[in-house]
Amino acid sequence: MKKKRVLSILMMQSLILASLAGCGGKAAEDGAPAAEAESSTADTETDSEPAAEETDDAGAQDAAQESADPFGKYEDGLEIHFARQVDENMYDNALANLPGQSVEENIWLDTYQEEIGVSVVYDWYVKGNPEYEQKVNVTIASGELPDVMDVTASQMMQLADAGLIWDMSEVFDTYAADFTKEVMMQEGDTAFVAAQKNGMLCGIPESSGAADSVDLLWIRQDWLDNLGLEQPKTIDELINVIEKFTTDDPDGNGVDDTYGLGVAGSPNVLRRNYGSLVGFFDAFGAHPTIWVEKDGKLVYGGIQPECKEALIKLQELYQKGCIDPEFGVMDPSKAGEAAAAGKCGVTYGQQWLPLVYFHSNYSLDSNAQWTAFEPVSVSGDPAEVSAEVGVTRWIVVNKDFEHPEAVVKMANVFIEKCWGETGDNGKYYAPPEAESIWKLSPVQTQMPLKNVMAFRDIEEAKANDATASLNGEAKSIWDKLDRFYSGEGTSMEWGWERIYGPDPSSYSAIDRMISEDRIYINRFSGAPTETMTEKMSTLESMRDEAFTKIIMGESSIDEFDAFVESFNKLGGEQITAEVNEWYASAQ
Amino acid sequence: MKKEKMQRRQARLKKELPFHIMLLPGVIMTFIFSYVPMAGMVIAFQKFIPAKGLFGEQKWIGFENFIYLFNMPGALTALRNTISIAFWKIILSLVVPIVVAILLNEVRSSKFRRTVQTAIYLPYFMSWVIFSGVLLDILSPSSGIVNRFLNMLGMNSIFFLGDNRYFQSTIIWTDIWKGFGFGTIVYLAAITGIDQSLYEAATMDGAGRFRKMWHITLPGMRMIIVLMAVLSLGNILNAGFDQIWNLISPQVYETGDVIDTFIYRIGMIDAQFGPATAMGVFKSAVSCFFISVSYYLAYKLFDYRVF
Amino acid sequence: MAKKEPQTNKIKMSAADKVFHVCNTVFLILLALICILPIINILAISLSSNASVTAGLVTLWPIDFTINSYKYVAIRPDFWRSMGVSLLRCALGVTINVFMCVITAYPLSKSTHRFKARTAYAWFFFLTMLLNGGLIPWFMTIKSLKLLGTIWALVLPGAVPVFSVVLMLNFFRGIPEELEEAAVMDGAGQWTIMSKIYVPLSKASMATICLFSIVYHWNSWFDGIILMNRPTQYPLQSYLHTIVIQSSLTAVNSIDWETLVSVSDRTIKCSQIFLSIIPIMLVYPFLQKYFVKGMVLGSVKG
Repeated sequence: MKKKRVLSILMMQSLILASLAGCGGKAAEDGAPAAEAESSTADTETDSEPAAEETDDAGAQDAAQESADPFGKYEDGLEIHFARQVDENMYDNALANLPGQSVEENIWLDTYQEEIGVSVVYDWYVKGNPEYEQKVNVTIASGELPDVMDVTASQMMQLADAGLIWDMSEVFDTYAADFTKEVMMQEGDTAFVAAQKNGMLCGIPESSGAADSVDLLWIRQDWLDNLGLEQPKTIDELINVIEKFTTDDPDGNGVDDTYGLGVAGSPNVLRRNYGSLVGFFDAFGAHPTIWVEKDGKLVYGGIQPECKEALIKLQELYQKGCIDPEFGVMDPSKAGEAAAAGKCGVTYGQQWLPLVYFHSNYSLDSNAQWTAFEPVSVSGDPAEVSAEVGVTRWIVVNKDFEHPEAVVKMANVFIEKCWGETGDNGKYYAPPEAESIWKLSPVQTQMPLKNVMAFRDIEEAKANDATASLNGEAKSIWDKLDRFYSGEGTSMEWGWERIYGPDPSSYSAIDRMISEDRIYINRFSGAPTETMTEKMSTLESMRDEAFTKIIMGESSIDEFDAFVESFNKLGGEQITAEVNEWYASAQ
Repeated sequence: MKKEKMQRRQARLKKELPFHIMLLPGVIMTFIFSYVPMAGMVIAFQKFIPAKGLFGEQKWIGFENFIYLFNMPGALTALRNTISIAFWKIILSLVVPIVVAILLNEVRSSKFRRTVQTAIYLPYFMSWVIFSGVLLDILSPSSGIVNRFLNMLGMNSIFFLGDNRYFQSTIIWTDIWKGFGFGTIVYLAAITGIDQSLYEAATMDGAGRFRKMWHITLPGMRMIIVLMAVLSLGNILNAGFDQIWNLISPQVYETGDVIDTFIYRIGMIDAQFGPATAMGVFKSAVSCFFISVSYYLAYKLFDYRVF
Repeated sequence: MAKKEPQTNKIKMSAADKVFHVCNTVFLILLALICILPIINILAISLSSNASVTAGLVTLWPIDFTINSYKYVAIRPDFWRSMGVSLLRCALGVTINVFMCVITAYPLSKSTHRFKARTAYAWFFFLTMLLNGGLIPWFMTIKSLKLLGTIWALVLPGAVPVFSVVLMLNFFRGIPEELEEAAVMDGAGQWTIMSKIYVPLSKASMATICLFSIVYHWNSWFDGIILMNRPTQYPLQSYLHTIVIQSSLTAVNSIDWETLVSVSDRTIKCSQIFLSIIPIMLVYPFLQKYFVKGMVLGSVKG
């Protein structure tokens, strides 16, 4: 629906462009659009919008006049200044095993150089997510932007308002290879819609999967077996399991030292990490972190009456001692210690938990069999599970940079090399010895469904007895599973088996949810509205505080209504109006 | 007459010239790195859009940021918390080290004294990032050693960092814990500087241990105490960002959120530079007031010039 | 006093005194223990196996003793590079701080009738302790001086440590004016008086401000993250910050879990934390000798 709309807009545009290209003369040199762009940038600074549109047309025209080759090489070379975030993982899982390569000199940068003649220069790079965002804030304010960088939605909108970045719509449309478009829109076009403002595409999403982010229900199968319990199908059955896990000594050590439900309350209980409660809320049809549609209008999930029902149940669980009384101060890694120490048997969280928390449990106690299930519902029908828009960063291009299309070409190269027919996933994306090699690329437009697809590939290969023919990421995952099955694996291989193994596993659950269309993605995918930018984080803190206090019984459940009231009063109402304005315009 | 005045002024200038030269590097550095950035305070009066730059065409909105700020429910809470946390920190960071220093001074074995001294000074070297990690560990209600100890005494576990009843005092006492060793050493040094004959005379007069502490040791430390007190009063609105930022969680914002964490949250994370700067300006103004008062009091009451 | 005390004790070592001494000793031992515990905790974690740490089993004694984490850190170039940056920063920063502090504090320590403008200057410096324009303007200033990404960005902005200046000028004030007057009689200039008389007399106070400066430079992390252009330029605490904070990173982003996997190892974190405290603990004994006197010399004036 929405997907089709944007695609059709894009197609329309290309048609117009094609006709324009037909009428216009040919300007073969790269220099022409540059000159155009420069002269029109001067206009945009004074009066933004109309001029901006002119620029777009001009730029697009020129772009179209060139031979729009998605993989066209800059024969004279093109230097692009980037800013980027790096992380620990990039060092540990890639650079540490790639002698002679570094952040600034590696296989990916060589590839861009060879394929399209682009040489990447990093103005700066920072380790860590909050650190990166802060440095981007500071950089934006100080005015000297690199040519290309990743920004958050609100940073992107600020830059767009100030007329500092390119409108990428024509550029993307013209230069993105068909396969690039296909991959980036695998889960719909929400991330593109989010980047649109007044018909301008402000940035290209660093696409990544929304389905990967859903909460799963994790239960220790061995504890279920110990107590002779069945896999729960409804929330009441689950609550029964949680209570039994708390009181009936599921580990059989004769000491009452277990909690049923692992919850991490810092900074809030809705982080989708270990100890998340999003999946618990999902059971009641409450989606407290996202915007949901009710009677044709968008409403904030966190203030819906469904939340109240979930909170009542949680408060009861807390009173019965099924939740660690200190959950409020524990961040996921602290809360995860309980699971690792074998003191907790049920929790919610994303598909990767076995690799971070549960594998420690397994290495201390090889009976521990954490198992992923789909979140249960009240009725027993499969629950609808909430997911955020998978994209958190967009690539924006500095208006002063003359070749915005170069970034699109880089995305083409990235996607083609990783998942395309001519590419080699096992070399560019995740070779076994350096699984995070893809992170060395400054442009990281992921294939959103790659994990599920790897799971499907593995399942299919196993069915056909063709695991030897697996390639790339699927192969390196299969290698780990294989090591586990042959008994050579460590606790990490056990973790991978929990994620990609046969049903029940993380991806068997996610695969089912995708094919049965039960993933409810945030209905609001626009850029943060004005009031949202100003007040949403304060309102979310209020939500977190109210929820935590209610669960702990410090406030009665009536406190929820008080919270809803002050939520609306302190900006929530305004935000809801703005969100619906957006929704109406996006319909 | 006039000529004489001129000459005197010239002579003075000549005599003072080296002083001006000495101060020049410091003045230049301070001007560049402290005064130039102060121009940024204008942000407090603008609807600041970062992308337009500091000297870009920002919209002037007068005191709107301040009004907005004090309508935010969190701002006044933060102010109240700041004052109460800082107040207790100031008092205790004076009292505790003085007491410990006096007690330490009573120890006869100098080896023991030095060992204790070195040990209590250790936490001072750790950055808050590190120290907080340790605190989260040992204060944990279920597994932390503090609560295990309380349980052994038959008491219930206390939720130090997650309970509004305890959070402030936890913040205050852990700060004292980290810093008191430093203060102790300062005061201990002051005690060693006290004229020994005073003690001997007092002993002759038959004064006991505690009378000597009260009448000789404490007055002997008077000046350093005043100095430390005055210096710490300037921190009345610095309740300790590094510490609180690493220990706070949403359910204790009510008692734990302070001005600096508040500024950081709305400024660096939500990128609301206008209100954040407004809060900073407000804080500076209040600090100025307190520091001036304390400077004045120190001068009037103790005839002590801080600088 | 220490010499005198045995005698007094002999005279009146009453029961009350004995009780006092026992209580006092026990109290001080407890106090000392409380202060060492955190470090022992860190050390114990760094020497334990990751699984037992993740399960929260380690407090004061290593479980499943292993030095794997130290082996891992030993071959990590980032850690040692950051350590190098920090050492360089300390060396430069402390030198600059102490120099600036002395030449600034000396004139300010003169009384108003000796140096009329001193009060104006003093306020000039003192105001900076109270007012600041916020992060963005500060960043822009440093950027426009082209200091970003250089070690100078870390040492120059804090070149004049006002707090230390205040202490130092108080030390200087404690030095008898007669010394200066005598030197002036001999024809010595102010520079000579400062470097030949005041500085040698204030070794102890210099040690104090040295210590402040070292602790400041060693423990700051924020400026490193904002002002450096590469993680390879990070001083140690900035580097540690990225490691310690990222572990509590609660990522919604599905990509970030991979980072979580690789930083969730607390043993490695703690071994790095422990290693990072060592250098500064090594400096302390050398400075302690002077430090004990330093803090007060000036303030206990006449």
